[in-house]
Amino acid sequence: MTTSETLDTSDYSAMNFMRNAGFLFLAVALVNLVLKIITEVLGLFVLSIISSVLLSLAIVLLGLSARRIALKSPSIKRYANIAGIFLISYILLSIASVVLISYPAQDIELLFILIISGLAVGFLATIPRIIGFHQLNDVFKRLSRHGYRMDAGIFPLYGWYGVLSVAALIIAAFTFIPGLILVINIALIIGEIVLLFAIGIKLIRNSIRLPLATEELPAPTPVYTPDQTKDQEQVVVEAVNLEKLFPVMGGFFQSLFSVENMKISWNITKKYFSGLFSKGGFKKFSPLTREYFNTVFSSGKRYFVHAVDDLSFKIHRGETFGLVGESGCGKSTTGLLLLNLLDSTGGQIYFKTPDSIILTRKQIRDLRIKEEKEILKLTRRQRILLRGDEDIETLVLTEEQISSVLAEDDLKHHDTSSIWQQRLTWITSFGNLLLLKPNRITLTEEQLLSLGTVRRLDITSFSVRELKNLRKDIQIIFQNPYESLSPRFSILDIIAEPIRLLNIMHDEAEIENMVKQDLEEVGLIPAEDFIDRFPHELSGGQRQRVGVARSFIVNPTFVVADEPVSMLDVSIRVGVLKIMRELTKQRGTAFLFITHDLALARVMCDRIAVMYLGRIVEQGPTEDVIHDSYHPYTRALIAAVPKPDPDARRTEELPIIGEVPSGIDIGTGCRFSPRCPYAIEKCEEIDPQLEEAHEGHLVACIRFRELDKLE
Amino acid sequence: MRLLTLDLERDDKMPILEVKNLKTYFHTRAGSVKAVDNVSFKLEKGEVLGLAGESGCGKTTTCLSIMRMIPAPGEILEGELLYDKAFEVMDDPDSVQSRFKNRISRKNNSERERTRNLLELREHEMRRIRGNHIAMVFQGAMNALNPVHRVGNQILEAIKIHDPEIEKEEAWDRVIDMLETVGIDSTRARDYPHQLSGGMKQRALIAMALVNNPDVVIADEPVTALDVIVQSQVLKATKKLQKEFDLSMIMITHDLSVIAEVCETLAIMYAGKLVEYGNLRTLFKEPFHPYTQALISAFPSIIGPKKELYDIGGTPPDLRNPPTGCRFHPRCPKVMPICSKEIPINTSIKEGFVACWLYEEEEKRN
Repeated sequence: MTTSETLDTSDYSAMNFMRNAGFLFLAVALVNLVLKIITEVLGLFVLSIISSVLLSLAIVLLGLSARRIALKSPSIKRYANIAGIFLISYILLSIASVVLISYPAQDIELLFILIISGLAVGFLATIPRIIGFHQLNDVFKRLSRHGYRMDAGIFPLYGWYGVLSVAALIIAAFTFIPGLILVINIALIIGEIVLLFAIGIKLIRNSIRLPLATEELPAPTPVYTPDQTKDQEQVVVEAVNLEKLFPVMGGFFQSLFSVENMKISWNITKKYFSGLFSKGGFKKFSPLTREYFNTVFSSGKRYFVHAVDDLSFKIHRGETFGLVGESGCGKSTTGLLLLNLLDSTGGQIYFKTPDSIILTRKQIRDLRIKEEKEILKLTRRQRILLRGDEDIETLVLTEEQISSVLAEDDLKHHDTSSIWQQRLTWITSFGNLLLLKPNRITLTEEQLLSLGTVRRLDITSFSVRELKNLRKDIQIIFQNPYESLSPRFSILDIIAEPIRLLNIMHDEAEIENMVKQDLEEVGLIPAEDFIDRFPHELSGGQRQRVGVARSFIVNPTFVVADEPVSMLDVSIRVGVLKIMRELTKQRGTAFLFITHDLALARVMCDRIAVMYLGRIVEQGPTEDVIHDSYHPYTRALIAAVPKPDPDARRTEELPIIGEVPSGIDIGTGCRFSPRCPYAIEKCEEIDPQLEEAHEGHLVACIRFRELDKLE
Repeated sequence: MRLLTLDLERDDKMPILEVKNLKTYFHTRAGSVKAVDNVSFKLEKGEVLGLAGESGCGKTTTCLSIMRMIPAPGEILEGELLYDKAFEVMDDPDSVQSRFKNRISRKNNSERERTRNLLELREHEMRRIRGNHIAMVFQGAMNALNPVHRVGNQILEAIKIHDPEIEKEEAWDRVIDMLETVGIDSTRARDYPHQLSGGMKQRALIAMALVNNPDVVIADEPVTALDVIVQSQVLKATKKLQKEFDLSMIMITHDLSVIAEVCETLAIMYAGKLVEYGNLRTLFKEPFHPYTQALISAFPSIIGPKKELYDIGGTPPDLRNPPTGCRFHPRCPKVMPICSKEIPINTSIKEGFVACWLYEEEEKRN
């Protein structure tokens, strides 16, 4: 499997923040050192406010960096937010405390009260300090599971140090031993400065080695030139080595009740936890789910359902691609992966947007960074900082190219050249904090074509916001029309929902017109009669037509239909099928048709792929696969399909026995070999890859040529 | 347990089960749902009848009516369910004569027919028919078994209900035998349903139906939820058992291809009516009723040249208010003026009949 340890480009700014925070911590430490000496010697308490402010700024920066990295994962983001709230309240309280203590009051009594209350507030401030730094530590810990090599174990220490120092000061203040308060104070200050230094250095180190996975520097990213062949032009969706594993907890109780297993579990747990603190830390595909569960809960067995395993295929414009297989073969999972409704555990999905492409802030930044890389001939360290984006196929544009195609509106508020300049200063200064950037730039297809750029994006790396944009282009038709339509929505609302959610149109009259047009296209005529009805007033066939209308209203480039007619009766089925075919052919939609019914796939699909246990075993043009199948599984499947013709009644038994084994314990070799009548020893050793039998017809069987001769 | 073996003079050509003018309505607040309306067919000994139609056309209701298991708002209004051995299960066959005098006879049929009518039986007598004489394989293999009892015990229960005095060992032996007959390893008898795969559950259900040696088995969508390969295996097993035990079977399914694989006779239902009945091969080659024609051409096939599927269009009617005349006429491509006015009469064709005015007219002309 391929685990992508790709770092998001949003990390670069996070790194900036972090490094800046690191420098600030160092600065605070230094300033503290100086200021404390001055304040202790000269009694200028006011100056310590400066130190507080600097420290606050450093903490804010630190929080920002953590939050920036944490943007990727909502759960981590929550931690970062909590940390932020506590740290800010700590900052405010500690400033208040410093102000109170150092307020130059003339009245002794007032001074005393001020100092006492200042100390009390200071003590109070330690509580958010502890919690905040603990949370921050949590964030960093969690991040380390996402492939960042972080250690921030010093944060909690720093948090607790606050209690120590305040407590020590209070004790010292009330014991009235002359000199003690000075000694304690100096000790505390030294401790604090040491801690601040440590944090600063740690952060700077973290920020430098953040994306540094290996010492080996990869070759400079080749500038992607679009494949001009016609085939590539027509590909709408391409899955490459797509993989989805579902962890199973199957062995948990077994391992609980077996002494031997418990011993093994304990050893592994020890090893695992000691590994946490080693230099390596977590990997992205965390040992917590993979190796740990593998070994602890199943005592050496693999405990993953290989729902989709190393799947690669392409779907062209206007093509209907069928995924056929028995239940549990992973066809539905594939559909969900392609729509990014499930996160894949490996592989890429390239999607070509036809009409326009919306670049998000991240992608714009991405463009610039790449450009800088070209222009500046970065040093090694800086290149390391920029590493990680080679997996994301992005646009490589020069600044002029961008400004030549962008509408002026987009950049109205931003002087590109100044942005450029500021970007250039990025490497040497902290100064990109307040940098303004356009939120997003929309490039049309023409504009993109005029630039000669790539129009394929790996959607597995998309953020939530980017996915929302993508939803205009990819849609799904659900299996069960009785469950997929909200009973409280009118037909108008159901069909208009994607338009409203995706902000495609705002004028209600226009939306209604569009819905009517759409309804007529799916054969619900007259549309006026239908728009105000509710799903319960419609029959199954009509409901599914509404489902089709809902998917097609945004004019998607790619539609996944997961068993769209399996819930419908024969007499209704054909109508829905015809409508889907008409719509896809008219609009040139790439269509993924998932079905268990090979006969149905034959009617609908241009090309089909037969899946078995998460793998494609045979793939090719429909008639080819059905009439000239090579793989023994495909042949068995075709033989098993009941034929609506009594004369074609099969007399011989099916050659294959049993049922689909579970996808959990997949050994080496061909997955079908345990049931295959033609399996030889070699089949259990070699994992067959898809080979071209003849043009466009792929088979994953090591013996398919022999078998063809046999028959 | 057969209480009595009364040797009625038996015509060998007599069908084992005959349904005559069956009418089953469900009385709902919104009106009566005419789920089964005037359905008649015969089932010969050793014959496999395929009952096909869309969902809601009354296939299952017909078969539940035969078992007299229509749930509450439903009622069998009219008709006769003639079963050969109905006589055998009566409490007091000697006083049959007197018994029928006191009962309202639904139609003035011969006494012989009345003694064979399942609808004349009392409920406890009917219970002797169910399972022993006519068994049913229920729909949805995944849910029909009780998840908290072992599969073997569930089959054992079926034996014990019909024969309470049977020794447990003997009954268990029968369970094991039956499981092996349907192709489940005897070691699996002590498994719980969740430990069996879908195909095995379906086989277990078939075993449960067959364990009391019934004459007639009604299989309600026996392979619908199964994968093709398993489906094919279960169908093969079913066919084998049917030959082995010389069973008469009614196979309910919406899938014509399944019927084409297994059955000999085909009955097509539409909106509570039997529209066509006859020999499977003849009907598949040359369907008479426009609905049958449409249904067959709406089915995709994996063999032969790729053909365009036929779209019947429209939706099945609401059975509370079925269309007048022929119930298919709003969707029929060959509709004639008479179709919407009068209910078509069954016209006999080769080895069966068709309910369509097209052929009625032809017959008149001839």
